[in-house]
Amino acid sequence: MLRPKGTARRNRYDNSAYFYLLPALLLLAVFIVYPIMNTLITSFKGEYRFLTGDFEGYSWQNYVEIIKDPIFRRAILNTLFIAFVCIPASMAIALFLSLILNSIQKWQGFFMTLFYLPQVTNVIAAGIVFAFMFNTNFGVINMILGWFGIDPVAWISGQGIASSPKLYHQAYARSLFIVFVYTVWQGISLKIILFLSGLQNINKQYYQAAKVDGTSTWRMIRKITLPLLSPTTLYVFITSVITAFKAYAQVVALFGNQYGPAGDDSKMMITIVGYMMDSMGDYLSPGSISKASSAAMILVVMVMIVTAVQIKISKKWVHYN
Amino acid sequence: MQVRLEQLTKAFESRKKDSVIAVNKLDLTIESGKLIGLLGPSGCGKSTTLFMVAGIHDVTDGKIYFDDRDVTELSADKRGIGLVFQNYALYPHLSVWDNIAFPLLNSKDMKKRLKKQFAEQHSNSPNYKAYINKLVEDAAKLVEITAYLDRKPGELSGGQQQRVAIARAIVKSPSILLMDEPLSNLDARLRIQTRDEIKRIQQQTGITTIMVTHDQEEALAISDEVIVLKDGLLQQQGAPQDVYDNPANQFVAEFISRSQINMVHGKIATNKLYLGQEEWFPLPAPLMDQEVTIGLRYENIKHAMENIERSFTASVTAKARIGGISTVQVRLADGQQITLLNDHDESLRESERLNLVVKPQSILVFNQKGEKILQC
Repeated sequence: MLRPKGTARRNRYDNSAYFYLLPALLLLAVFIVYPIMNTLITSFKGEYRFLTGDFEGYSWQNYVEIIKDPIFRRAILNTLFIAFVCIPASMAIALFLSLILNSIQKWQGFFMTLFYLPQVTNVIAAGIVFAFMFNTNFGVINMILGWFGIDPVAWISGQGIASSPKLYHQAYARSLFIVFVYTVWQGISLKIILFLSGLQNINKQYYQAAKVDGTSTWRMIRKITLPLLSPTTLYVFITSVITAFKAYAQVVALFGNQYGPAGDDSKMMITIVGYMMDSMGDYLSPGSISKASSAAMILVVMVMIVTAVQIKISKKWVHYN
Repeated sequence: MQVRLEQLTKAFESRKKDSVIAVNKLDLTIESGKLIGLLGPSGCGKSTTLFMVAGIHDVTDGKIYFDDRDVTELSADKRGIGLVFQNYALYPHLSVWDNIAFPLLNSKDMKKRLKKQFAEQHSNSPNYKAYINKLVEDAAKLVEITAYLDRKPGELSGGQQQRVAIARAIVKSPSILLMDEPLSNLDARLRIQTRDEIKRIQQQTGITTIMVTHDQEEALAISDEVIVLKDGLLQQQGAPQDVYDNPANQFVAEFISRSQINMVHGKIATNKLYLGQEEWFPLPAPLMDQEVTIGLRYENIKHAMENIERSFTASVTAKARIGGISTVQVRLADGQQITLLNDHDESLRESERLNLVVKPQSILVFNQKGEKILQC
């Protein structure tokens, strides 16, 4: 009997493990795996009718159609804008605030509560408040600008944009700006919590050692804090990418179901998820559910590409202990 | 460099009413070039004292002098000290080389000093970079870790990490080296090896070194001088053997002996010392009648052939053998147990009566407050 020690035990362990995992695996299969597979299959169905289930063969037709659709292209562009501006901005702000929070003792709990408030606020309600803050006549933003002698800005206005490309671009830029501000504000709370817990996990003795060696605060942050925080940073980044690519609620909260300021009929601020929602809302027309599915698959692929690239690059800058 | 503490006090603010006094009016002088063991049980304030000398903890009251310079208000980096942490605090994301070079590359003052040094003695190194590399390699050579310069701390054993930590502390040639429990994270064999290393490195560099430890054996083995603390108060300072032979009080006697000492209840009555209830011998000098505790180290109690002066009798109750050391437990007439080394007689039988004597100058008599009132 020269069987390596533990072989028999390991087999027994494996079998019982599956048994214990069964409830979780079942839930996963029903609510995650099946819907994903179904979405994938649906996205290839031609002329798919949701109510009857009829369809005409499988093809790339749905993908070709939505990629040709200017509104979908706009949705991709807007989503990428939100991701590429709001992720770095909110991460930088959250990191900066966490570093400050971590270095103060007094009022830390108070400020943590304050920064966490966006997380417990309803997205739609907060969006309506934001929209009001940017109101041309009564908004607090224009009031503050007024103190500096700046004339009121029509932040959310689609007046005359249909006839003037210049006005259209101006309205688009302003709308984007508001979405950025709102998204960053909404996103920093969770990032601060994550960064702060990461910072508090760094052994204080590293700083004491660096202090004895006369290292300046800025150098300590650069040489010790940031490298040791990098696993947290990667985690925050990946979850931020996923959240940003799913941008939808903030646009609806700020602009309503038209995805644009009053007077705009081009769905100026639509996002990928917004496009999916619109297609699904139109479920009676043949093919619309399939188009929503194709849009969903494109979104998944985009998130996967960005995440894969990031994980690849991260090997260079993330230090695991 | 000489280190002098004057009435050094540290109080930690506590959430409850009273603040905790960790170090209490400590007066100490540590001579230049010595290796000092700062010794005491946990919570005695030894690490706090070290961190105050390092400049990491603020001083509540009192002064710290390096030679004649008052450094009490000076920040840690301006004191010219090297510090080795209990858990090494090596930067896990940096290689061994980068860890050792860290103090040289990240301080403006240090850079200025090194550039000046380089300008003055550029004979050996072709450029500044090579000069830095030479300093790092010299430190690595001293602690014998040159083979691991490219590795990360996580890839090293505990003992190797400890060496890197020492190299990082000495690379900037500090005038004082401070070590906080440097051996406590090592296993027993490595601990002995590393403590001898520390002794060698200290002697080679001649840096005034303060090593905090709770392990009396460690302190006795390598220190030029030990300082015993308890509850933030200085108990005794002196050469290891002197502190061992002539403990200042009951606490030091027990702590230094690491439980290899019997604390026997006795009394003084009409200038005679009583061991338990039995009269033992007349005092060399008169003392007040009182209850006392008599400290008798295991190794100082010997068999006596016959009933000679200052001998006492006891009966064997048990024998024990741990490795090469065998001990005997004996019972006094009043039932108190005493343990002694059984160095020669293997044939002792239970309840056999023994005549025992204690080596001269090793009977330690303490009063009820634990103060030593007699040693004879």
